[in-house]
Amino acid sequence: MAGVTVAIVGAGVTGLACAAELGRDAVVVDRIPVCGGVLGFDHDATRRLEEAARTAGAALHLGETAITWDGAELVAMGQDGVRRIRADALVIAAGARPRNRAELRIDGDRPHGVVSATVACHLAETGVVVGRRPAIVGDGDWARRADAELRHAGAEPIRVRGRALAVRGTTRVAELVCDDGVVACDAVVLAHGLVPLRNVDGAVVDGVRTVYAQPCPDRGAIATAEEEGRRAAGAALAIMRAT
Amino acid sequence: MRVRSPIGDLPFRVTGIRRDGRELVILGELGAWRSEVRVGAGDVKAVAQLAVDGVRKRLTR
Repeated sequence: MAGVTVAIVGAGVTGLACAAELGRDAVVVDRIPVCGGVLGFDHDATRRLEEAARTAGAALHLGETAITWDGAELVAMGQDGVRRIRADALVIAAGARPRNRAELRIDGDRPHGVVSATVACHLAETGVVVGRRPAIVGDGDWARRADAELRHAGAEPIRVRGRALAVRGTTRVAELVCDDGVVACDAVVLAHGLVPLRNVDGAVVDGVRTVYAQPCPDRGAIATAEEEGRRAAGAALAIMRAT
Repeated sequence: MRVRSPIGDLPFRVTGIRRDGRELVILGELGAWRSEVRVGAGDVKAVAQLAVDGVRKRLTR
């Protein structure tokens, strides 16, 4: 691993843009066996940035999960076992998730049927709907995706524009109380706001050798993600020079 | 070839084929993951049955 200086977690648009900028100094790890993250492997932006990263000389280890970072070494696990990557800096470009119930401060009962948009979408893709009339909280990318996928799977989702305040129901969701009224529903899909995914042990809080590249606009744009990747590359280079 | 899964769509590239006893083994890459699909006599029968059922359904419409 001599010569490798920046480890990047995440091969989505941000991670690839960062790798393309750093070239041979970059090693990218992603738990999914293809590039692209939420965009998917065959999106134009994914193909363009993957080619740019590979052409620049970055190493891509796809299908390997980053486990821990101790400030000098990233440990990842994949099909061939453990990979130890010595690095001067770590860039976390692992994407973001919708805010959960606690983060949205939605009060009330605790019945079944309150799920994240990511879970609702994954289930819908396999033909399972979280409810016949699920209320979708939020209006960003995940809300639109959940709406489309739940409809495709046969549900009749209700888009909630107001601020969700409380869930009502005993065993199952019956109502969602919002600041502009009460919505009768049998599930609540949380798709409001985004928070960065930080699931590499040792890289959860800000550190001197860790750069976070996780843009979280609720309406994510590819250009924003690319720009964030390039910014992270600059920040990682600054760390390398100071090391 | 493309595989739709809960983690998204993944490309499946066939890299080889071999026989293992009564099974046909299709070797390939699911993205970066080495993968294989094992097809036994029961699978061929099940696929054939599904195809026949599909044709019957279409003819009775």
